[in-house]
Amino acid sequence: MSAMSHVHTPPLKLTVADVMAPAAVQGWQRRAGILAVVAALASLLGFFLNQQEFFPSYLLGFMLCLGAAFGSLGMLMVSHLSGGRWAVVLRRPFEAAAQTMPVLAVLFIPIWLGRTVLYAWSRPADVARDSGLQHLRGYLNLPWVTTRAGIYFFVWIVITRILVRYSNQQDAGQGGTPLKHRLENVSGVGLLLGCITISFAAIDWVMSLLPAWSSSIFGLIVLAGEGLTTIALMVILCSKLAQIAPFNRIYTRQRFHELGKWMLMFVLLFAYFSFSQLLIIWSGNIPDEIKFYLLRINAGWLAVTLLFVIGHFALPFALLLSSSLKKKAGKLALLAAFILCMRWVELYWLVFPNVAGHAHLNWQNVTVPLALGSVWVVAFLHFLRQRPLLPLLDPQMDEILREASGAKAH
Amino acid sequence: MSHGDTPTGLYGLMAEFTGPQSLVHAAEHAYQAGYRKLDAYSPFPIEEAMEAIGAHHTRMPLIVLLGAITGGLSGYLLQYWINVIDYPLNIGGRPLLSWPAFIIVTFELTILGGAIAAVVGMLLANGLPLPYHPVFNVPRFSQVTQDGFFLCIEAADPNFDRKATEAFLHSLHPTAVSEVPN
Repeated sequence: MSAMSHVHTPPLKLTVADVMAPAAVQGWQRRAGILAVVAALASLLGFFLNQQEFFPSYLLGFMLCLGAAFGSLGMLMVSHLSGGRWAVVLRRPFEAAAQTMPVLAVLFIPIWLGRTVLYAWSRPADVARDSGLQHLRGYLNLPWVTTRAGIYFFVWIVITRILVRYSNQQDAGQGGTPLKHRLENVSGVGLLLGCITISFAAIDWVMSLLPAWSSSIFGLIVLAGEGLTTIALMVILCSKLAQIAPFNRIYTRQRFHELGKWMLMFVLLFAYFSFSQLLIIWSGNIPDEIKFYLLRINAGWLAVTLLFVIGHFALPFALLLSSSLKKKAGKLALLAAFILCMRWVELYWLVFPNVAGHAHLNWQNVTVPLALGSVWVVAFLHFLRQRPLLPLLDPQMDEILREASGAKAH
Repeated sequence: MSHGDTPTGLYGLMAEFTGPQSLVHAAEHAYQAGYRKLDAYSPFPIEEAMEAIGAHHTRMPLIVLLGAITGGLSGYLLQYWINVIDYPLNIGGRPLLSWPAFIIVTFELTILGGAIAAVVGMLLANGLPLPYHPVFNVPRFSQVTQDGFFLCIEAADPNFDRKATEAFLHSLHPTAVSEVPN
């Protein structure tokens, strides 16, 4: 509260030029670009040295980036449906992350090319030997898997484009309330389509690494993880922006508190889905099903499993119970960075026990995801810089600016 | 520490404000001026006002946490006692201590323990049920559920001084300052 304002505070006045991405964003983009080049060169070396390590690492990195992009698209649609101040101030970052979808479609090509290294169902010799794989051939065959991948990306890109186009119309001052309703309707249908397609994509690209194994909640586990990746990323972005005027008045303690609650929710949701899967498979105790867990407690993988359970659930859960931590941008960003590392551990835990024998850490497991991640960040920041960081003409913006004029700079 | 001017039978002084922002502003100033026994009243919850008077620093989170841990532990130990000690049964050849199966009940009782601790703790900490409260002696206070915004500094506050506190409240530009009789 500014000291003299005991009556109604006038809203903070911001022009489009004020809310364009600050110059610092370009600097972050350059740094991510340098990291991308270095890590990509290392990854290229790895590709020629050892493809058995390269392709699973690539899949790991791809799923991590897809998590940030698809998670943002999902959160964008949730935010249109729910409304709220957090939804308005995070709209542009969500949109920018969702706009990277065509980049991910291109980044998917190496997985398609390297399919025989990754997937037993794409190796004719394995299929000929294994009656289980022959049984799955109707679903897991190359033309159909390729078509499905095309459908997923088509759906995600089309939803993103529609939402961004409406959002641009709102920025141009067209539409008003009917436009808001259109955004809500597209989000409702889009959320349904999105959840179905990501579930199938998770089955095609990750679950089929272990073709004999199936779990109907698997898609939801991947989805919850993607939500967590997204929120962690947004916390880091907002904590950076909160150091720069005028965004220090927009990304306030209250907004970080809300982001912290989202983070806690996704930590719990992910743990809840994961434990549901474990409990059902453990209770059933069927050889085909328990294989997934046997792979992850034997051959040295138990340590990774424990790290995943503690680092991905127990520790963030205990820390996020504190409401004062959730309100502090710096501490929350630190936890978010830790959670992003744990997202890597989780995907490593999901992919590698299926394709590698003993637990081991290869340098490619780190460099390849790092290369993909920094390429993705470059694309994300590119889209973030194209448009104002705040939808100034959104009906809810007025109350945010009113609040901002009184808010203590963070 | 001047209790000299405080007439007995006085609960405190209450100032009325025009809206949430002026209330928050007044609450912040009162807190800064060293008043601790004060309360803000409004028709709807105002997060900033609660923060301004330091209402967030309560022991409630700790009470809820202890309730949740007690609930969770009792749920787990109950199942342990039944399955391992009191009535051991061989179910599908699994060990007697099959913890994955215990988690659901443990989780539910954690929530139950936390929820009960939250409700009971809130009632006790607020001193509820409370059939009588002096603030209702101010006639205008009935507006608090509609459009009234009030800040009350209690006479029990060590910094309270009948005249000085009244002058202080007037300096915050309220619409009215009134005595709250006990």
